[in-house]
Amino acid sequence: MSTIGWRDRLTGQMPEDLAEEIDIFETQVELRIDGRVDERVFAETRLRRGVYGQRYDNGQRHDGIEPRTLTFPSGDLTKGPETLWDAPGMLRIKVPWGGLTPIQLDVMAELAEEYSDHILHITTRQDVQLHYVHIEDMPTVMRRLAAVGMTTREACGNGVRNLTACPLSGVCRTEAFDVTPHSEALFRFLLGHPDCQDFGRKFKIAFSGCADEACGLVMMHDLGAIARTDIVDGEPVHSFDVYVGGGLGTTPHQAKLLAERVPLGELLPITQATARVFARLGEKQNRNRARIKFLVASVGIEEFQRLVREEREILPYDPRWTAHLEDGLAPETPARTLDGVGEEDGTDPGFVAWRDTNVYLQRQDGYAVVTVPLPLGDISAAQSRLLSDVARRFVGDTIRTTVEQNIVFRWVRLEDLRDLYTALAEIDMAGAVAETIVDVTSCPGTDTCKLGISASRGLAGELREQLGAKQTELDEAVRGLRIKVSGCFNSCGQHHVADIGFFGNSRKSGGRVVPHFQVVLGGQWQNNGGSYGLAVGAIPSKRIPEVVDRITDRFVAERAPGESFLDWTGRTGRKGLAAIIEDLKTIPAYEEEPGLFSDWGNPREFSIGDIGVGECAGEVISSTDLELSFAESIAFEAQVALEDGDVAKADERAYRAMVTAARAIVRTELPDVAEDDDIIVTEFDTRFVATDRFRDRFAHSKFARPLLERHASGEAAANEEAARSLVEEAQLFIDAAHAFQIREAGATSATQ
Amino acid sequence: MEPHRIAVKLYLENPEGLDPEELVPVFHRFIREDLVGGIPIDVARYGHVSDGPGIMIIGHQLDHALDLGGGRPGLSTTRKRDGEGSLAARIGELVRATARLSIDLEADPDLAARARVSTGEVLITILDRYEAPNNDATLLKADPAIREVIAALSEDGGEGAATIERVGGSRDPFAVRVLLDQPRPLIQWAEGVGAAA
Repeated sequence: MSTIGWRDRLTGQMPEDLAEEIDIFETQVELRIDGRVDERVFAETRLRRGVYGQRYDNGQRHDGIEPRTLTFPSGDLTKGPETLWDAPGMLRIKVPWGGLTPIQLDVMAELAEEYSDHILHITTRQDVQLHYVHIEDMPTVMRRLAAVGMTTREACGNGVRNLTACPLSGVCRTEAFDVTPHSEALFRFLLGHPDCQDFGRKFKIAFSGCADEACGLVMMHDLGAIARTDIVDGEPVHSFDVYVGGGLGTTPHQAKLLAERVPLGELLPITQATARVFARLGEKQNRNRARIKFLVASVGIEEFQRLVREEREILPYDPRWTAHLEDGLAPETPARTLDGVGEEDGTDPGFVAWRDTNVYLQRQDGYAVVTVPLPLGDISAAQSRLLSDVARRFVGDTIRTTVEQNIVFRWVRLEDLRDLYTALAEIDMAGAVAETIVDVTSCPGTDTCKLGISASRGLAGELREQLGAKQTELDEAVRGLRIKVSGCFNSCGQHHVADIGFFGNSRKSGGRVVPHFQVVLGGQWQNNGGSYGLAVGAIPSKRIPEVVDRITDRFVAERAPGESFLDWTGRTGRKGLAAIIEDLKTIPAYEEEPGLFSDWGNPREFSIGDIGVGECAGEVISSTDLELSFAESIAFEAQVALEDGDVAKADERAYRAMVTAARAIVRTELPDVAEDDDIIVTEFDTRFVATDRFRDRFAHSKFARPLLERHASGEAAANEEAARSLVEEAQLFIDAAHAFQIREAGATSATQ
Repeated sequence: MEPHRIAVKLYLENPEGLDPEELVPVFHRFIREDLVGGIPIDVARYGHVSDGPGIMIIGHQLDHALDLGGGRPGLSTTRKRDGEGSLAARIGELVRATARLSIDLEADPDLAARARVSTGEVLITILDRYEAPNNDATLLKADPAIREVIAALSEDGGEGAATIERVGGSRDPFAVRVLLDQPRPLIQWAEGVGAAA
């Protein structure tokens, strides 16, 4: 009841395109239940809507003694390969450039309470994730998000993921200019863009306002833009240096300069051209080599630059490339104007400590950015509501998430700092830990991720507690270090750019498996994540706090005056660093130290039997398959409308289904075909019907005729009988499109 | 009103005596020993989050938790799907499940009788803002069901004093705090004594 209720209540409040997307997804859910959509197609469909699998969704869980089968009511029904239908999953909500409003926070809190586990989790890419959500609830959750301008579209799968940006953009003291409007424009431009639907892997984009700070961590992204301002003829000229081919994972790459001083109006087309080159030449079969970093490495950056230039020259003009320069996102303004009181001095030690760590003075006089630290990136639904009230009171709509899994309030008046501190302390959100060694970042790891090997959150929580207890005693040089933890080599915790990083792995000992973390030291946070750390050895998970103590103690003891941790690790070298922790590698017999054989926060004896098949890579389904799948969803809606006696809707949906299928076919040859029915039908007729390519061996051109006739006449079905006929013909048309695709694939392979 | 997502919470008498993290191994064992209903999936740890769900057993139909919400630790059971029967029956089923969990924890050797659950107060929450917004109209609709539950939980069949108080603001889920004057013992709650079929 609530599902239908919410859909009806929110009609008109959602952007039309998102509403339609969600309707299609809901239909896909129904079709999958009926077995009318292949599980691989459905998997990619849901991934492209941010609906991800979770640990144990293959129905197997190791209880510490033996594997157990989770017997879900829907039996063998799946929502993807080895992913059971009933197993709850994760929903990733995109938060472009981290921008949030109090109402969005409120709605996510409601959703966390009603459909999830009462927790909003901020990710290392500024998204928000809800865990343990059931697939049937996803469309309603999506609608409620869409009604407040949020989307999950392409938050997972082989598409353009959330677009990240420095949370200080627009208020930073060292930025070239505010990248926010450009980030927003690129996000909107690429969302659902046809050129981004045929990637072999995901594509992550970041924006930075300057080159020297950590900012948006451009150097570890598939594509990144760093703002720059040059003085030309005495006038400031804004542009971007665009980088490509960065990435973490098992084979981390630093991004390469794709183009220097890209004019603001050229940023969108150069990104589009890059996407096209990636879609055309990127690896599709071997997902382990399918990120753009491998393509850039294999052809070389000079050749890649040439390919992008060549592609750029033939791109059809799109007015959206520059529209935002005239009519883009308005600059942020403070919710509270200065009243000239100035900052109130504080002597309360809690406030002073908080001000030292959590407050950043904006370049705008009288204002500051305040970090609200979230332990492990988590905030409860109840806390979220309280926090949104605090935001409304002090900063309005200027909330942002950060890649360090925190929230920042921008445009806080200095004169409000004490009151804000008090308000945050009342809801237990004023920990003086921002940008300190205590504020450990972590991916979900074995808590919920199918690929997690070790308990990254368990370790991060433990380090947070141990370091927090002695925070004030720590040497100043240690206090500002960053620790980042990943549950496996896929690096979602971004351990490569931490001073002290860890990623999960395991080792066998005496017939048992011991959870470990590989220690990675000396990653560079500054310079946009300008260099990656050195792996110095794998240590049993339970001994990692000892590793942190030893490394930081040695750093304090050996550092030259003013020497950074990065420089110290470089000077000490991999061998010297490994020697500091070498003895910790030894694994005693189980009987001597059984605690070593379980992980942090998880008393079950460690097992890697719970690791599933990851979905990061998505399913490699062609865009034609996906579009035909959408066409089927629309045809299904036509059937439902017919059953409901809504002849007009049945006619419209049947026609739309055929146009969608025709567009899928046309786009195999004309990827840029306009979203115009006349053009689509004409191109379809000219290229495929008139040439007999769509001709069926037995039915000849029969299947194409209903589309051509319905389009030419422009007349809707006059009665139920005519509508029924069109609905049936629409399904036959889609079947014929599938058959055509198979024939064409056969013809192609036969000629190769 | 037929909401699916309903939660019942019973409060700890001595929250300071119990570190929520202590429940992590206990809950893992409960899953292993099939002591919780429905299809339990895993234990989730949110003890680090203020005003949060605490330590949870996440299940397919039911979540159980040492819930830290409202700053008052308690044991809760939330039905997320597959609820059946009248609203009173659904709430009653959750009371039984929470009472059973409470009894198991009170008797757990690892916790050494440090978990003690009060029967004087019950928090009932309906996690469905469409069906049950947090307002007086919902209270009016839910009132008969709540009174039916009170009758089942009370020695005097609900004839005596019991307080029903709607809590939270309009943005919060609909929730009522029920204060019982003469509650039956926890074991009777767990056995469903007095409850409607």
